[in-house]
Amino acid sequence: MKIAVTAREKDLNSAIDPRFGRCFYFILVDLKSKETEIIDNLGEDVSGGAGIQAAQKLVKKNIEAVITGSVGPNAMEILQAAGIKVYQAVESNVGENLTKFQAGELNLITAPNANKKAGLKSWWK
Amino acid sequence: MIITVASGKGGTGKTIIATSLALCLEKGIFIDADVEEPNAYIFLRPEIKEKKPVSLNVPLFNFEKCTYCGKCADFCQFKALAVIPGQVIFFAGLCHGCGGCRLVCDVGAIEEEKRLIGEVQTGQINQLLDLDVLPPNKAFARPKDSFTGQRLIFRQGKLNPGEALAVPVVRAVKEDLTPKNGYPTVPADRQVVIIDAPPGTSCPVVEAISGSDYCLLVTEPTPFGLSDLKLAREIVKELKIPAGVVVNRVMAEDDLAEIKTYCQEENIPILAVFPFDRQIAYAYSKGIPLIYAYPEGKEKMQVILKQIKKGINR
Repeated sequence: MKIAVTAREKDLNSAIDPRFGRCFYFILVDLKSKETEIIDNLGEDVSGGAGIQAAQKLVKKNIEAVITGSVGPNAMEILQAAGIKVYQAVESNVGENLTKFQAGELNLITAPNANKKAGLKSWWK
Repeated sequence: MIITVASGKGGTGKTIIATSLALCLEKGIFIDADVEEPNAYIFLRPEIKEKKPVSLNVPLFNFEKCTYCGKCADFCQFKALAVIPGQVIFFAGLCHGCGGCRLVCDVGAIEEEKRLIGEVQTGQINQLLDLDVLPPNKAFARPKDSFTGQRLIFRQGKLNPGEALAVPVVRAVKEDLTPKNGYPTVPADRQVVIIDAPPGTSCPVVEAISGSDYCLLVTEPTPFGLSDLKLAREIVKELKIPAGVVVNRVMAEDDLAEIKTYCQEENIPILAVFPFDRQIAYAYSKGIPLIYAYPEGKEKMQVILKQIKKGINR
């Protein structure tokens, strides 16, 4: 199973990026082979449609689940249509969230939990 | 001659100046290009005769042909499309109607359909002002016969509330106006077109100003007015359109010092100065054009028009 985590930096010790569409990086993890891949999301550089673009990237990578903080309505529509499950991050660190995910301790998000453009707020910076 | 009235800052008096300028024309066309909040009609009281819808060409998918290759979504600069296996998701509110998706589709699976985003309304101003709306106050310069006999063509664009894209409506309201095409629906004697631009400095403003022969920048003697005047000036410079300044709501000559300095540096003329005047404010609050409330108004408008003609020919 291949899953994605939104991250502030490029490794498993990195902090979670709580924004889906505007996250800095996606860390992709193949849970079987333990292989990881980093995608530069550059979500802060997009004026509009950041969530759509980010979701499209995950679809192309055949991701089955994503761990993140907040997902807006447009991104959620695509993720759900593509059958990508969204899990709520609870820990601040990417690796710890992965451990909890594998232990089945993360909650599924089934509805958008952020408004459009929420990831643009300056307090993320 | 196309004159666009712009400002950068909102609330400086674009509309009150633009409408009174138009009312001083022998024959002309007035266009309200502030499509998000067109309100010049309040001053001009036109009789709307024609309404034309403005729509965007948005993609319509033929799923019998679509291979879900994703080229359209990759191409879309506005992220209006997402392609997932067996499904295309279209976010209509993000689509700019460029048609690029249709062009890159290898299998011809994308057609176009129209999505309504606004309207262009056209009408006439036959009788300028119902005299009864003027308060019984001698200070109001009641319109003379020479005013009421003229006919002004009025056009306004209206963007539907909640729509993000004002530019197509601004473009539509200015349709056929480009000088090289002439203005076929209007007699040749209507040589002056006044366009009331939106505030700000973004795309709708650029679209409103583009193609004009002259841009009148309305400002006020506040740090805010000057700051935004500078921004608006940058656009006009970029578009290589001659510009002049009107300063509105001036209380004392001293107030003008900074604007004067700036205009000298930029080599743009100040064409007129309007006072901070209770009578004008009162007229505004009742939707009465400035020239009726301010006796020197008509004369100043004529001066502005003359100066603009000079400015264009220079």
